[in-house]
Amino acid sequence: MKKCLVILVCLNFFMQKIVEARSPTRFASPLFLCRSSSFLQQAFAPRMGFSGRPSPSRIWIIKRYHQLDKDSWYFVVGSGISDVGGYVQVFSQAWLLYKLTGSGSWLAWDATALAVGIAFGLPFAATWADKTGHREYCILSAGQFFLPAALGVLTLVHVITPTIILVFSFINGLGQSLGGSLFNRIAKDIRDRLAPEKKSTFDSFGQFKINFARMIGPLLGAAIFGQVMSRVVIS
Amino acid sequence: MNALSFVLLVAALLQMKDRIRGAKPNNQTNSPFARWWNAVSDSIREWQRHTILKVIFLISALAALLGSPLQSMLASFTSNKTGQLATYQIAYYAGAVFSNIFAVWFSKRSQNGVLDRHPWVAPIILGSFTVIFAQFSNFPLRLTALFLGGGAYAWSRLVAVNYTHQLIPKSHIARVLALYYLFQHASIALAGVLAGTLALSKWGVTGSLSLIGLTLAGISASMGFASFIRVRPTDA
Repeated sequence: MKKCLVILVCLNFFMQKIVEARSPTRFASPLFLCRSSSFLQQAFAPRMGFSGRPSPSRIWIIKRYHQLDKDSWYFVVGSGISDVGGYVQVFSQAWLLYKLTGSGSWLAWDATALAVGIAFGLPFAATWADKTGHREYCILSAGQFFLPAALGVLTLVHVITPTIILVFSFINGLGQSLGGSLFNRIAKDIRDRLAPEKKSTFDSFGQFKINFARMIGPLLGAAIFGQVMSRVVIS
Repeated sequence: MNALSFVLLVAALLQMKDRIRGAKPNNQTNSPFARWWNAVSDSIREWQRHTILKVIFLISALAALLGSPLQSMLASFTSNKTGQLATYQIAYYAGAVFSNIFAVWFSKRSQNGVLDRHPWVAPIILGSFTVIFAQFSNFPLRLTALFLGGGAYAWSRLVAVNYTHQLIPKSHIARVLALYYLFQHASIALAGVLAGTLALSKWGVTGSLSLIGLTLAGISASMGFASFIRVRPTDA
């Protein structure tokens, strides 16, 4: 349980950082991000055949994506992995709540807290995203990384309660509204630079990664917690 | 380690010089709330400026209101078998993923950035397969209906995002998409109340889901023939 939460926290954190590091604003690459960015670039770019070279891949969907630019690829893959991490976290929080209470009604409250957080945060977050641009927004959006970390610590020291999880879900909803607005703005930046015939391809990939995360996130969470968590007793 | 890397991230972001500035609200006032409200109303005006976008948001909200019960009421059709429920859920989301992959392939036909010029078709498909799912107890048929229904729902969301990105300028995009997501959340919340209330009525779960699907298909088909839907995205 504890290890899983720590792993999830780290995973989610690095996924978010990869996206922010490769955003189209071209802001300076912090040193601590260079390693992951270079790794991704070296691992995938030669096979994808960026910079206008024809893709050697025989898989049509990769060929199709090859028509987009590098930033599009970083955006879809980076934010897609981040989405998966987000759904794993939502699943794990709900699971933890259920283990603590054994009540289905608490799960409904948890989902409501998350939805209320998103609905409450969206009008403010989106206004902020449009007005201030990326940099300041990134800084504040990065604050949400404290949430899974704090949740992990509280679970480790056995002071977690259902009420605390509900509060975390609400704040998580606020964080999602912040991050979502930022991603929407980044997506628009990337899309505007693409040729007209490639814009809808980019939109399709953008929705694909969300639905893929919706499908994979809970399955991954269930696999992790079903295999690992069952051996660890929550007191 | 996480806390340290967060500090480093903030420090790096503070060093950055370049940024993208959006449009400022029209009426600058001293009150933060007034400025915020101006920005929100500005985005609503921008959204209302595009007739096609108003229609798309309406269709998408309808698809959420009358289409999401197909997924939320799945447990009622599983005969208390959790494995069957999991299979249904996987079929639904697999349909959504397949729909997006199909959209990637289909997007090569688009030359101006608009993916689908007939946005009412996907809700018709969703409504029709909702009725088929409710009325037929054949397991493979139900799986197929869920697969295609989930795909149609995902398609309607994709089309809404595609049109929004196509028509709304960068300075307003986050706010207008926030408006869209608020419509979606509100519709899904209302859908739960609607489906739950109908399921408790004399129609029962099967009848109410059929009624919901039929209504969605009917309204969407009607909108397809309405004159205002013929407004093309070139009005931007």
